[in-house]
Amino acid sequence: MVKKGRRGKSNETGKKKKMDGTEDPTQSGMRADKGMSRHLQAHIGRHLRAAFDEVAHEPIPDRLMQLLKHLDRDGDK
Amino acid sequence: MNRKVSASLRDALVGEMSNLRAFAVSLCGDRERADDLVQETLFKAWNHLDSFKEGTNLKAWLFTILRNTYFSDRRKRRREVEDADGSYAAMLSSVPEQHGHMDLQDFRIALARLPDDQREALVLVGAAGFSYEEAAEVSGCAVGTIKSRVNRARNRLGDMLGLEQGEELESRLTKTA
Repeated sequence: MVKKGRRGKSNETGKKKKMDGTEDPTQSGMRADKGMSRHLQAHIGRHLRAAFDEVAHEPIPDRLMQLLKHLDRDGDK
Repeated sequence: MNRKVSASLRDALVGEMSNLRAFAVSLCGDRERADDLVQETLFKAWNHLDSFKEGTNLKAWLFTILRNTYFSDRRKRRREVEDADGSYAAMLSSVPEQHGHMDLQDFRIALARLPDDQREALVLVGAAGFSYEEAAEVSGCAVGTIKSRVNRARNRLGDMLGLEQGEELESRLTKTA
């Protein structure tokens, strides 16, 4: 395997990490640590936002909207 | 207590409800319980409006109330923690799939299986739009703690989803892209 484009520092064991803590994605299979490629991080990020947004885009249930109106109308406690 | 001043605050509350609800669902995995959580949060927020300084981070304040409520409820109901996996998975099976994307379904299940603190950190930073510093305030911990929880959550998700470095991952990503 040709090692090219090394921009990060490497330590004695040959592990490679860039300054920002992410892995150089051109390097595969040599990790002993748990760094993660930008691709995988982006993949997880997309799914995370999709799952969150799916709920966030649902209409607010009636009982919660009613509660807000109820609280406002009752005024001081 | 002058409630008129809270008209704009009420609008702000409405504005944050969707995100609060999405966060609640990510925490407890159950829409019914999530709505209970949001309801309880709204009550508490409303009753403690005097302790909120307008102009400061309302979203963070609301999220803090919600997550504190969730975790203190959970401490009271230890028994349900063991079942969390099963009930969440059961809920997921009734969620309609969008465009038959098993990928996202798999992801939701894996997300539900993370430890609560890791899932919370990941959602706050990766989906709810908070900075690490804000997430640390919401969770009541150090910024470094949030960062390590997020890293562990990502790694664990990667493991659970069977995603590994190498060509296998690259081809899988290009297929689902």
